[in-house]
Amino acid sequence: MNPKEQELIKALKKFYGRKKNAMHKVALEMWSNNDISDEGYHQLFPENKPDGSRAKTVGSRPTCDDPGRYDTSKSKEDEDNEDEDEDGEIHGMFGPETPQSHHWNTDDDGCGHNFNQGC
Amino acid sequence: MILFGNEINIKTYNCSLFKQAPVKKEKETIALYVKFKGCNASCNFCEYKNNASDFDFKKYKEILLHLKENIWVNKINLTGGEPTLNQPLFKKVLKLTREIFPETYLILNTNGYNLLKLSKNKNIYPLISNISLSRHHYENEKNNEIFRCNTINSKDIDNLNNISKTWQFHVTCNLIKGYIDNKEEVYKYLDWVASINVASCSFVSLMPINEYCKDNFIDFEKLNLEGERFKLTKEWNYEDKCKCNNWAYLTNNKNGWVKVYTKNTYKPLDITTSLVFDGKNIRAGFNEKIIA
Repeated sequence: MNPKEQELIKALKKFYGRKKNAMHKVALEMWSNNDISDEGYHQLFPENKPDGSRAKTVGSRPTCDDPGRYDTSKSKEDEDNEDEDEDGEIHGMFGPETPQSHHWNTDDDGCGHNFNQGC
Repeated sequence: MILFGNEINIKTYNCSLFKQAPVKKEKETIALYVKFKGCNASCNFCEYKNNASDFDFKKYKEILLHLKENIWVNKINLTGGEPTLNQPLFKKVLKLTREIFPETYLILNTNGYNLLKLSKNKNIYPLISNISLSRHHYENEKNNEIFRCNTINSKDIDNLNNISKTWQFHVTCNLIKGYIDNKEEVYKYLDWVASINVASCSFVSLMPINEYCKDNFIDFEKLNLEGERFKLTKEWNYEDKCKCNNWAYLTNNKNGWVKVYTKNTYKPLDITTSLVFDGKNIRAGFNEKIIA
């Protein structure tokens, strides 16, 4: 276990104290994200084995096994809302002279940074 | 790697973890950034003025189909400008992108301008994997001051986070002198993130792209944030070009912690491993040469 992980384990113990359920939720998530190792987990919960499996990537990408998940058909309500969107409010308001900005000022901005693999 | 008839520099290794040798990627991947023109805000640190074109939808479709045939696109980032500024266009682009790449991790990079309106259309929820909300201060008024316009308030972010079960919210904060610029302010910001139950956030030191950025630069690494509740979990390096760290901030909210990442880009012009569609052309990297 590297020294940084040892510090993290100590911090979890100190911060959560007797709140074992709260600590377990966090520890399990950290373990699945490879932030803490099996050894680290066992230091926190000697009596347990971590259940579940380690995530290959952190952030639990949404799965696509839910049928209709990417159903892009419109309901009546959605169509009504779209009508509201297309009221012309946006168009024409922002000409080319309007200062534009960017959410970050970086190039490869790292949004969607993978907590398990870097950017 | 040849794409669109051009040799493209693909990142073949993952970033190096804790200075270990970088691990080779299992397969060649690329990230695609899709830029929308126009923004409701006018931040001083931003130099992306008028550098996107009106959206050529036909060209965009051709590009997506070419990419699907030739490489694994691991991330699509709808960015800008403000992507939600023109809602009908945004929806059209989103829908097409999902038709061609139904499972790719898709990030909406937004200042929240039209999020409330978009949230009325529940069919949109599953199309977006992650909402990366730019938020540079925990106080609504100060955030408006930075963006120089009215922005989505904390209460609405919290509500959206609750109702859109499938959206993962992430907030991003630029470190700017006079705003979030010291340890105490970073901790206050993190407490605010925890209070609205957002699971992750990031802090970015400004790149020196203009005088404002140079004058208001705050180096995250000099803030000495590590403490009893703030612990480093990972350190990544991409050669000598950029560095990012993962941190855990322990909280008493229902999530129990906030995942934090910080990034420092040292050689922005050397990072050309992403493709950028600027509305009209596809480029190898931001502001790099047009390849199609």
